[in-house]
Order: sequence, then C-alpha cells, then structure tokens
Amino acid sequence: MRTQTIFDDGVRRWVVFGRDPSRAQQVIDTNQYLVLHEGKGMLLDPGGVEIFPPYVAALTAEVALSDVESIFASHQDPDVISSLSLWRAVRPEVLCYASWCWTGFIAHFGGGHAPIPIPDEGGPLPLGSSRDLRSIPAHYCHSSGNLHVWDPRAKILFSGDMGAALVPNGAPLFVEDFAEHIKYMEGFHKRWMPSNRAKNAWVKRVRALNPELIAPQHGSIFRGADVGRFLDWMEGLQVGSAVP
Amino acid sequence: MHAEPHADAAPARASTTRLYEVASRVREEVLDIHRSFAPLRTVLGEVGLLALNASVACARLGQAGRTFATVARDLHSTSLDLSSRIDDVEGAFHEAARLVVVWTLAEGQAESFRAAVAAIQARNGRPANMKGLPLWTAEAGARWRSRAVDTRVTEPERLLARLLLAEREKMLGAMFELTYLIGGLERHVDRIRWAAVRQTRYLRVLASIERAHLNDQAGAVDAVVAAMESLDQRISALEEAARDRVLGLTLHTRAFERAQSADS
Repeated sequence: MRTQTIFDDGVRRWVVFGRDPSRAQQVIDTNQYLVLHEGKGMLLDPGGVEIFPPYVAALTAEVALSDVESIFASHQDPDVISSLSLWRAVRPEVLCYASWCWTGFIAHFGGGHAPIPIPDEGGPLPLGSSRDLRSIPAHYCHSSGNLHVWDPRAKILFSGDMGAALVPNGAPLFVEDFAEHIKYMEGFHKRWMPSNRAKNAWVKRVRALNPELIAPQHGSIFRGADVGRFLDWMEGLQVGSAVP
Repeated sequence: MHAEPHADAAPARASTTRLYEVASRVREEVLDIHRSFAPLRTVLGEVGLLALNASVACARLGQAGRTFATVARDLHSTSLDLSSRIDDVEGAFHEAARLVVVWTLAEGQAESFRAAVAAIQARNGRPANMKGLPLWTAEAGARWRSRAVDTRVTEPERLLARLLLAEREKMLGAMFELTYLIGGLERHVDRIRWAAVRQTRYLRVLASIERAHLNDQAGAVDAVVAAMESLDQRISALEEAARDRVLGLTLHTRAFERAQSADS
C-alpha cells in the first residue's frame, strides 16, 4: 500500500494510504488518512475488512498502534468502516466517532460498542492536546448522516465521497489534469449524490472554509487551483441521476 | 514512501488446513441437518390433528366409545410430548447456529490478523512466516510456547499474533461446544424415537383392539387407525434418516477432534 505524507508542520501531520497493488480487484480502491498531532493519531475512514492487513502494515510504519486514539467514520458504508471490529481488537481503547444517524448501524460491524454519536451540526474532534479538528456537516453527500473533517491548521478538508473518483490503477495521488479527471468522478457524483440542494449547501460551506487540499476517500486529492475548479464543477453538476 | 509488500503469504500448516477443512464440513453439516428435522415438525402437527379426530370419533360413538377415549387422550399426550422434544431439538439447532456464527466470525478475524502479520513481514523485507512469532495463551499465564523467537519480530506483529491466537481459541471453543451439542442430538433423536415411534405404535395396537370391541359401530375409528399406521411409517422413516444424519455428523466431529489433536 502506498503511503505519502501530504502535510507536516512538525506538530500536525497528515498521511494518506492507498493505491494498494495487492487489493482484490472486486474491492473498490479507497484512500485511508491518518492525522497525527504530536504523535497521537486519528484514522479517517479506515476502510473495510479486505484492506485491513495491508493498511495495518503500512500504518504501523508511521505510528505505534498504542498512539492511535480515535477513528472517524464519515458515514456507514462498508468500505468506510467495516474493519471497525478489527481495529477495536488491536486497539481496544480506540474511540470511534460517527454521525448519530449511524451509530446503531455501525455497531453491526462488531467491536463491542457503538461509536460516539456526532450531532448533525458536527463538532470538535479531540486529538492529543489539540481541539481544532472539527467534523462538519455533509448530510446527503451522499449518506443521510454524513460528516467531513476540517483541519484549520493544515487547511485540509477530508471530504469522504465528495470529490471521489473511480480512477484506474496507478493514477496519481494528486489531481494533475482536472479536465481529464472529470471523467473518473462525473458518473459517481451524478449517481451517488442524491440532492442538488444538499450538494450546493456543501459547496457553499466548503468555499467559506477556503481549504488548500480537498482529500476524498476515493481517487485523487485536489490541491491549489484544482480545489476551486472542483467546487465550481460540483456546483454546476446535476445529481440524483437515478430519478428521471 | 515505502516499499510495496510482497504478495506471497505464509502457507498454512497442513494440519491447520486439515483442521479448518474438517471444521468447515461440520458447520455445513450442522446447518444442513437442521432441514432433515423439519419434516418431524410437520408430522407433529398431524399427530395433534389425529388426537383431535380421535376425540371427535369418541364423541360420535357416545357410551360405546368411552374406552377409545383413553386412546384419544394418550394420543394428545403423545402430541404434547413430541412437541416438547422437537422444541429441544430446535433449541439445540439455534445454539449450534450461534456457535457456527462465532466460529465463522473468529475465522474471519483470525485470517485478517494472519494476513496483517504477513503484510508487516513483507513490508520489512522478511518472508511471511508465523513460526518465529512469540505466541502465548492467556490461559497459560503468558507462558512462552516452545518456539524459536525471531528477534526481528516487531511489536505490532506480536500484538497481531496474540490476537490471532485468541481468535483461534474462540474457534476451537466454539467447535468443542458444537461437538458437545451434536452428542446431545443423538440423545434427542432417541427420545423422539421413544415418544413418536413406540408410543404411536402402542396406541395403534390399542386402537385396533378397541376397534374390534366396537365391531360395526366403529367406522369412524377406522380412519384414525389407518392414519396412525401411516404416521407410524413416516415417523420411523424420518427418525431413521435423522439418526443417519446425526451419525454422519458425529463422525465429522470425531474427525475434527483428531485433526485438532494433530494440530495442537
């Protein structure tokens, strides 16, 4: 599994794990993120059971399991959080945060107890001594109880399935040609995002944050001018394509 | 950036593979055998109906059918007895299904931990190998098992190996409970044989005698006797089939015990 640090100021660090060449072909590719603050870690969407072995192998090269404090699940999908019981086994003290909508559902993935519910308006996500990481609402983008993570220090938005792209094997970690990248994400957003109103509210909220990186759970990361390009494109896209 | 892990994984020991194969067969057989008991529940419904028919026949015969009423009451009691025994079997199957789930989940978790150890070893440029890991059991009070410990083993590997072992113990615990349950199934089948075959047979004979006493007035009883004969044959066939299945399952569990013994 490929590992790359995408932000590091000596205190806060973001690491992305993905593009696993040993991944079974039937399993959709996912990006896993680790946020570290003074060595204490939070896993953002740690993925499914299938990718647990390569992920734990790659992760332990970056952080001791005993320093992993928490897990954040943007929503309830199996590619997001079905590995929860395995993480709880390797790190029984780990806290898991998820939207209140899904805590009882995510508990079906096992691990002994339900995640800590986050209210609809989001809230702070403590990590080590820091209190600046926040979960922000992204409801109906695509899940009915959906949350993203905003890091004002790194100016990174973890955007779950917003900005997700079904890229071919070997695709670059960062978007290099936005126009070319559209074809990998257009169908996904049209079909998986159910509400134009929700999507536009999300675009407005994210523009106000002014992120430098938008880091989705699938595909490539947007940075620099591509952040604005993506938000403009998203604003103009008609979603909910399954309803004629 | 780090080197990509090697794709090769440690080949499981032949004895472990054999153990998993046998356990897998036991699980399939347990779930399958449940179906072979289902017709007994149908027959049970018919015994209850027969008891009702016998009561109606008694009422029609009036004073002449008073003796036959004993048969009807016994038949009703047999129906209740069978119901209770089949409930026991159902309870055993529900517990067996729970144990199968425990086994299956633990097997999945164990496989994830094994693959994670292999991935860490590959990442560190070592061949996947479980033999050098310092495994121990909680029950043994953290006593080191007889293994030559690889000094390159990292802390995450140790942790994952311990978890792997814990899942394996869960699996074996579930299998042993399953084995005990299967032993109990043989007893349940014996009890069903007694409740259904012998009692129905006894009542059929009793009904035939009563029918002879009633002579020509007992036309209504004929239907009950005929139905009893039919039920007797069907229950015997079902009981024999269930007995064969349970015997087959018992052989599988013994194979599991042998495989477990070879693997430990």
